[in-house]
Amino acid sequence: MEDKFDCTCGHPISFRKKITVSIACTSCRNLYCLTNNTFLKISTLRPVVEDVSPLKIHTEGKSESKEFSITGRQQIIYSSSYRNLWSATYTNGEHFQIGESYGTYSILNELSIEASPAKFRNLKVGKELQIAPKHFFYVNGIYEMKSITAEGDLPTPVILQPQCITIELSNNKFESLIINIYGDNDIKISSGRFLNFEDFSFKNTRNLNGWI
Amino acid sequence: MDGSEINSVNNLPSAEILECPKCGSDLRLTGFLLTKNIACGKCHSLFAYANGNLKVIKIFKKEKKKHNHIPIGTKGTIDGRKFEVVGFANYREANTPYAWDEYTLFNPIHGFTFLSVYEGHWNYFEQTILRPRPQGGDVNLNGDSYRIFNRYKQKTDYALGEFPWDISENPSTITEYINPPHILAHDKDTNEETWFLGRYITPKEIKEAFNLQSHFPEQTGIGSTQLHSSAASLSKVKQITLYVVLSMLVLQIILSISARDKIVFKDQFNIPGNQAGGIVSPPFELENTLFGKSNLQVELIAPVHNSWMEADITLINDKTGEEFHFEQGVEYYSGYEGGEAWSEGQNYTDNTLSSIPAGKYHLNIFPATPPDGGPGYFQLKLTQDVSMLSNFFITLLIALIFPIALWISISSFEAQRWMNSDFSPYSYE
Amino acid sequence: MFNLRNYLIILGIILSVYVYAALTGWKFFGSNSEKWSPTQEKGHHK
Repeated sequence: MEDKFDCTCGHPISFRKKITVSIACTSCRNLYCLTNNTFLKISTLRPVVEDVSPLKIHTEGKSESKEFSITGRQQIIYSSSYRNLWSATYTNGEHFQIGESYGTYSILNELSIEASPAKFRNLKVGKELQIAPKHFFYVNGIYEMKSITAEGDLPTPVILQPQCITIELSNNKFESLIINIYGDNDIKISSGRFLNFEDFSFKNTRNLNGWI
Repeated sequence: MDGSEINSVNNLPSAEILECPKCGSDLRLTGFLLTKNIACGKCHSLFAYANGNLKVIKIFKKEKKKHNHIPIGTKGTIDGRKFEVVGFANYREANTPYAWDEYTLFNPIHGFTFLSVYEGHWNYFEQTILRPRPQGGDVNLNGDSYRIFNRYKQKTDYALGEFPWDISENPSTITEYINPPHILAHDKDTNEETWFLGRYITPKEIKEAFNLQSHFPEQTGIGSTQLHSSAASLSKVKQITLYVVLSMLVLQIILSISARDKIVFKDQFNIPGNQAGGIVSPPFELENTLFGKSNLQVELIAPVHNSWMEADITLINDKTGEEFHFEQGVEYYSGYEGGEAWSEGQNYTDNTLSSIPAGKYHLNIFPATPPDGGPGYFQLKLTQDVSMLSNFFITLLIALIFPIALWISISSFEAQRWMNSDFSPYSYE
Repeated sequence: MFNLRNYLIILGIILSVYVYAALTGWKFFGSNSEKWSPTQEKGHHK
């Protein structure tokens, strides 16, 4: 179910009741977050930059035979890398993220784990991390976030913390693990699996200009 | 800002043309946010690209300029995926003269891939999210062992076009592992490690992929991932050879067991004093066999000592008159010389006659001995259808010629391949 | 380039010859006798 409110710039913003958590105005890029059942403006975002992603808001696809639609994205830029986290919602309202970076694609879900950042601060590139019995990941990269921006309707909060270290891990089961350490104490962990672009059966992508 | 804003949400952007801040030439930008370096082909400057700006970070020496055989902007299809050549660089193993060229290919959907060429041998690399397991000094990926081939730091001597990372500084250590025609390259620095999975690709495939007519660098030596033209067949040949050897052993055992070994004639003859005199044996019968022929073993025994005896023997078919003539002899010498006993020869010989038809036969024997004495008698024993080990070994040798030649050829090929490696299992003089 | 099919054919021929030789008493590289038949005019050794 959709509802609307007006941005401070006067542009009407549609949002999804019980789903939308953050939303950016397409006109002035004001970012609103849901707090106590009302949307509060928390920042004005930088524009999303051209990263030649084939995806866009309203791109549709299939995952595990369930149809989904992309409603927004966060674009995170590191000093030597970048990542898009596309927010996708299934028709039943469940949501997940599609991680995209340099032509790799993964389905990601945030884990609700209470963990201390200290546990992960000593991780080094190439090191092994055991998250469950016989369940290992390896550190592929440790990146310092330079900037973050977003667009569209997101079922997750956009964390505009200036200090963020991202630890990227993977294993040979095509699984992905992303650990974001914000400042000194906050941590968010997402896990998922890598898929090929073709596995998503994307529709309504950007015009691919013969690249496929 | 880290780059250009999106001009059209609904369309992937076409390459943007930037102006070289040093010489004003056109610089092509295809990867936008993904592009970290751009090198100008005219003034040989290398720029860091960030926030939409170009900042010069290095100027390559003019004399280091290298010719790129695939022009920047060329589009082609590899493994069913379309790519555009966006960058070309000439790298060198730090502190060595070993240099190679690398083409950076880009597809907005699949990211960057690379074509690397050294001494005319090409490899096509894609980044892999899979992480090979360490196996001693080597690695294992999905059950396949990759042997360590090279470890080095690289230096950029020349570049043209755009690159997804900073090529001016190369702090990472690169380790290559091979399992021809595949190769794994591990690129590791303090913040990131990346695995690339590559495969040998022929110049013909590349020319077809990019629809090129140009002349590619001549191939020299053996490429690190090049396959011997018959390498794919080696494991099959090994398997077949094993089956052949085993079948031959079984066959030989069966043939030995089923051989009749039938003694058809055995007699003792006195050697006539008159040397010109011959002996005619009593008749005997060679039994019929499946093909009407069989071999015939002739054993000659004579009590020679420091002497010899030779017989000129003719086997005559009583019915057809067909004759088989052969000579067979024995000699035996012994003595004591320089405090040591010696002997040579023996008083027994055998000889197998090939393909003798069945039938009734007799022998004409003309024995000869030395004029100053020799044995007074000799024995002859004829056995029909004996097992022939010599045939087994000759057949085995012929059947093994090809696998052995192939093995030698592949071994020499491998030794040449590893000449380019610091981790060669071969020792070179 | 090496052709596995041709190799198998050659092996088949080699093995067949080997079995044929065993069945006919043909000894490779070792006839060990000089043959003469009454239909021959030359080469008779007596």
